[in-house]
Amino acid sequence: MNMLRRVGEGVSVKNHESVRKRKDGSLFYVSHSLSPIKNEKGEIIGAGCITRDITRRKIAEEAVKAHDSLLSAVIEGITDVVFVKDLRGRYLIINSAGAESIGATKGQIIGKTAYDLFSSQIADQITDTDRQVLQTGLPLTYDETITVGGIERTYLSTKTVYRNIQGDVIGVLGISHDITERKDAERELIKLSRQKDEFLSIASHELKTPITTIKGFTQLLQKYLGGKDKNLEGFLRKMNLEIDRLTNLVNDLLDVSRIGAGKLKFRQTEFDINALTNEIIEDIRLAGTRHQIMLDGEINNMAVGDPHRVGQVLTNLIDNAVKYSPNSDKIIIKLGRNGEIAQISVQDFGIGIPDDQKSDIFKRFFQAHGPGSKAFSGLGLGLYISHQIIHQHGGNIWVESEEGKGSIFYFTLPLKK
Amino acid sequence: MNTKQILIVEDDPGIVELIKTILESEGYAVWICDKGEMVLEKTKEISPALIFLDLWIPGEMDGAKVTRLLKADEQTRNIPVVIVSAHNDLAEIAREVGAADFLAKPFDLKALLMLAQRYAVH
Repeated sequence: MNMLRRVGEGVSVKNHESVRKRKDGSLFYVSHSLSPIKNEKGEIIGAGCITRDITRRKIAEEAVKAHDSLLSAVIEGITDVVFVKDLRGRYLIINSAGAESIGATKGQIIGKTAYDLFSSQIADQITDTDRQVLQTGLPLTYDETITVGGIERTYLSTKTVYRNIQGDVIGVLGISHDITERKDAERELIKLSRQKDEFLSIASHELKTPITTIKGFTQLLQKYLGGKDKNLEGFLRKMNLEIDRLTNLVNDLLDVSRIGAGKLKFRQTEFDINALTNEIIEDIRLAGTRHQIMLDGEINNMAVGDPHRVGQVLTNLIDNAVKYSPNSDKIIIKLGRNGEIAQISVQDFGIGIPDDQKSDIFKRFFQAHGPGSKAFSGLGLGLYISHQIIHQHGGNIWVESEEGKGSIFYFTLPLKK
Repeated sequence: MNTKQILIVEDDPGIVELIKTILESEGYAVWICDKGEMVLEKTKEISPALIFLDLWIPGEMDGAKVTRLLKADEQTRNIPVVIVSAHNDLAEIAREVGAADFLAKPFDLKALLMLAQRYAVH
């Protein structure tokens, strides 16, 4: 035996580990320490041997090794950047995805800080979030843009504190997911949406020019010819009404493009809701409607906001009430107040709104469908625009409705204090 | 004759013809200008009682700039300007640039004549 020969040469052997087999065939680990025994003359006459069973220690060590390799497999298996840093910001662990994102080998990164690897501006940014996590002890998730070798990439990163078994904070753990492509797509989408809004804005301006001319000359015809012929008078009045309808459609398109661009503007003045409501009812009556519009109650305080825009909401609600109650002829408008809030409601006795559509009616482009799925005319923008106008006034708009029985639309507005 | 002069600043021929027809039928003398750069000069030349001015006119000078220019010049300062536009925030723009009033496109014939009567007084 090798060991014995060495002892025979006068050398001590310490902690020599080996595997042995028990009689039952199971294995166990032993550690031998051998030293020569000499006589008075210094001649080797034997060997002393201490053998210890180290099976438990060996099993524990194997477990640690297995655990380490599992951890490493997990970290390497993740395609996101994963890293661990100590309290001074030095990298203790980084996975291959992380090393690749920095453009260095793991060996070049371990033991270094952000200042050794990135520009000082980026390093400041990284160190700042490390510091935040260490100060609060809470996980932090944020978007960060990191430039390496002139190439900018955006990450969704989460950092959290790294604690030892005793619970002491000993560093920072982090994971960063590359969202550059998603961010680019988002930017592209925002750009396209802006282009669409600009296009709608230009288109509606352009459409209004010929509408203005047609409307003007129609009114001139009314002025010169209308009185002479009853039929002609009727035709021209219808043309004028249709031109107004076209104008409203174009205005709705323009409003939607402005809401999209966050550019819907409001005046902030005091106005009388009673007078405004009466004016609108009068306009609708003048335009000719089969429906009887009844007004109930009054609001004696001035409202605050843009009367033109609030009028637009009320007109839209009454137009809808007319449109969606083809088999009834009554519309009730109620004005009331609750402290410093005005409440206005428009009730019809028409087709009502099915429960499954109630949550969608204030959404953009929503189209109501009547019985038999026949769509009503319109762009599906009126209630969406109304909703935006009322909300920007600090009010609320909602509906109570029963299918087949009719709907009540309510909206509120702040009153002057 | 005390025919009142009205200057129309507008580049769309259809609209120009419309406004001209309406105003002339009521006895106003109508002048046309279709370029922002020429408005100040033209205004000084004919000294109109009122200017109807489109916000969106071609050239370097848009309607808002032209109005500011007119309001800054002593010779033209007191001539009322009515902004005519398809713009939705017309009231605000008109107030900002110092216009007397505004008329939203498309407009009613009656509304145009009412503004002419109200502002073309001198």
